[in-house]
Amino acid sequence: MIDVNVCFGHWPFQKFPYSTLRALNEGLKKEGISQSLVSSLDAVLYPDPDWGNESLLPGLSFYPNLMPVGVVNPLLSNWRETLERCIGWEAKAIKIFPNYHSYPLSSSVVTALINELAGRKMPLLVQMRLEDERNQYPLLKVSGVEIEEVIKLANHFPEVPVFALCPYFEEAIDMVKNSTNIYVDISFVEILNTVSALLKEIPATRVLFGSHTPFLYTRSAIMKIKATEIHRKDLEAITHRNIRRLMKLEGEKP
Amino acid sequence: MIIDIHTHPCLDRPFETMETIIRSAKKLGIDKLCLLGDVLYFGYEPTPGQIRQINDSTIAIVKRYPDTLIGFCFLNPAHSKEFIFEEINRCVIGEKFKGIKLEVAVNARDRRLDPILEKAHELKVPILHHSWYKVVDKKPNESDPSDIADLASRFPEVNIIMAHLSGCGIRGVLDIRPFPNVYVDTSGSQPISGMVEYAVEKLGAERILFGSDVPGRDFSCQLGRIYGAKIGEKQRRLILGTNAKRLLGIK
Repeated sequence: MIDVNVCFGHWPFQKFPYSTLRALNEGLKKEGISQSLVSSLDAVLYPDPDWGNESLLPGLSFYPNLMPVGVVNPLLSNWRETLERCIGWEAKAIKIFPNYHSYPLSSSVVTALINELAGRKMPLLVQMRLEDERNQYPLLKVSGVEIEEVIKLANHFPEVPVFALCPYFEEAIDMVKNSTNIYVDISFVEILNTVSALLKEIPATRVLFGSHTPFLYTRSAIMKIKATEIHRKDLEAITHRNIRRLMKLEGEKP
Repeated sequence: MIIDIHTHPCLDRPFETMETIIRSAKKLGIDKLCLLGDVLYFGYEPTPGQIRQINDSTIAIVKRYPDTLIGFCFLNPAHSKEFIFEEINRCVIGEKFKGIKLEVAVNARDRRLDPILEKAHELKVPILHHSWYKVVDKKPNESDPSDIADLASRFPEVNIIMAHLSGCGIRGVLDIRPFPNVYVDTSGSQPISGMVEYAVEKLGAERILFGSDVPGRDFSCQLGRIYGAKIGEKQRRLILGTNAKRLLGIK
């Protein structure tokens, strides 16, 4: 099982169970997750995400199961430098936080970034939200990314896979139905019999396993998958085949 | 035994939906479901006729699956005392429902709740009350945990189940800590990590009840927060069913 939605670092409003990479690695392995895409959480609130990347990504080289994802804020004039540094640390993808870093996806700086990713055949991870908007700290209310913006961006760059992380059920369906290259993770998607219900609306080829660890209990995403009654082929697509194909991942079988 | 203290039926196609809900619950080892009514079907301020319709539906569904379902009587405290008592008599005394559900029509601090609490005390049934500390989308009379704490202080002999642990958050857990007659259910929002452990530390596992809020939520995901929490097996068993069994008087 490959998890596309894992962060590591500090968050001022939640106490996380993992304070070291070793603990995170062990915790994910214990839940049956063989590989994860991991990005720096500190990079969200630091004024320069490079600080977060540099404190996390080099250390990931000691944990082959934890695949580095770089965080880039394309509003900052040094974003190309940040991107290069991330690639130097073998980042497999780039994650952006449009509503935390305060720019619309229609911004020209996003176009420049996604052009770079297209040239390097790297997927773009868009963090739709980190928390349920109703439960946020009152002085840090950040709304979710508008799905129309994601759809528009994805349709402009059909060759770049866009992973939308933490969409709600209806948002996930709308984004997939209105694009050819948006892929959604299951961490925030929830309704009775979540995965079966989702696959009644969209194909399994567009769904990715994501737990949003450490914000949420990893076990919840695992149990959504384990409880589902879907075709084995679809299950394999969601848990590892889609992401292997999209990121051309080799190595350990899940 | 696993008991889900917080589920809702659907007023549209009630039996078809319930069949799916029960099948999904059984697959995950959930033995009993408390049905709180389709409480938002008619909006935030249901009329007496709508309340009766919601309770009629719960009664019919519970009669179809008496071994699995436990009914709760849904009320709007804004209604007349006569109507409220009529519904309580019909559901709790007549149909052996095990609790009373209050939603967002009237805030928990409002004295119009008093006759309901007095009746709950007399009949020895708990009140399950919606609660959430919201920073957006708060409904006009929606209760937060401080409102539940106020209610609990006025009626220390009535057992109150505060819904939505993740929505109530850290502050909500601390609000109800001084009131041993208040329990919290684990439903609400995404399965935010650490919340179950925090509630166990501050309240004790004896005051926590597993709730899913199905069908808007998923049994698997909501159970995941109980099985994924770093707590002892004895504490887990209390949360999953032992507490609810005791509170509802299930043999």
